[in-house]
Amino acid sequence: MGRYITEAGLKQLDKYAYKSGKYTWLDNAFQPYWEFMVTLVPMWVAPNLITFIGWLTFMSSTIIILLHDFTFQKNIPGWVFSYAAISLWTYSTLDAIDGKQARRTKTSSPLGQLFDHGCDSFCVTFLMIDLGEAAKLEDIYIFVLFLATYTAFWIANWKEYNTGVLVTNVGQMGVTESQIISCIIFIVSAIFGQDFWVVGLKDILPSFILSSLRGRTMNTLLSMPIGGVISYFFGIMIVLMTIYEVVKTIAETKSLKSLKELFSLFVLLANCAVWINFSFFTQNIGIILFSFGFLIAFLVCKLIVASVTKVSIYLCRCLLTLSTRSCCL
Amino acid sequence: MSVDTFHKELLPLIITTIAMAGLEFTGLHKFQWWVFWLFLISILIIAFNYVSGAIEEIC
Repeated sequence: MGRYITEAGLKQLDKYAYKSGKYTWLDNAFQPYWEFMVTLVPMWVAPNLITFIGWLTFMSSTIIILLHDFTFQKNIPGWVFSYAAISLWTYSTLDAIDGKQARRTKTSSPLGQLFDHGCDSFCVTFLMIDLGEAAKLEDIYIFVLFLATYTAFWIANWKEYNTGVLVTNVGQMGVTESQIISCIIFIVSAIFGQDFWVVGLKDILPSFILSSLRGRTMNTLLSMPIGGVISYFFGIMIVLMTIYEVVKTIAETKSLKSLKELFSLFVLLANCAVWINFSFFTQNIGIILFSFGFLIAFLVCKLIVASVTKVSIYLCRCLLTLSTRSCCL
Repeated sequence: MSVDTFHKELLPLIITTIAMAGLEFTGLHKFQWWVFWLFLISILIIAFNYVSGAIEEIC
């Protein structure tokens, strides 16, 4: 028996086959572009190398942004966001063609699945940091969006663990759409500056609309910056879609047993909610997002290993002793 | 709830959250950085060991 994967799990690896969910309209529209792009890649290039280049490219944009500012308060030159848009586009293209290259070169493997989705899970952190800086989002807004996105990512992989199908969209809203919206946000920030997103709704809405909107909740909403409103909107949308996916998965598996696997996610979210109250949180939001993102991405990787090996998530051994020692040092 | 239904890798986060809350409550904010670094280092070590070990076994 392996230290991390059981003997049965290793045998199961050979039988593993990746099943994707339905494509969105935009996914289908981009298929010819991705089919063409993959023909430009030489046959000797390994699919995992394509994934890795995309990951490095996108990570470079986050590093450049964090070198300029990690408090989400300062203004950053426009070229940084132009680069963020280009790097995100490059990453999304390479992420879409790595699987095609694997099928083309007949090198599809569970390791590729782990590597691809493992890199994707880390990219969520990069995307959130880039978006937070591009829209100059206040810590609370970016943290809500960050947690909502990672919850959706976790649930998608949990669903694959339980049903064998990786769903990356709900209706016509999926990964490709999110990446394009993010690219547009970067381009707007590059052209008009980050302050474009800081303007309050009450400053841009016509007076006849403002006079018709009354009430305490409405006043709070109107005083929020555009970036905050957009992040709350997407945060709530993602949470609703995630709840829908959880209910759908329970209906498909006809069992509530799978719900207990979400206990860790609740513990994680509860801990994150506590962190919002620390003064340390406001001052160091960039580095906190980075480390929390790393932890969640790692746990998602564990879920992917459990999916491809069909073993219990909790049979994957952890280095508890080491972690306890590290904390006690 | 069985212990087996819980990701033990979350323990450093829970311990750190409790320690950070304690430091926040007592006003010892300058020590929060130390606690946070220990948390970051511990998750990096755990993740590195797990991912490298799991990849080796998959290959």
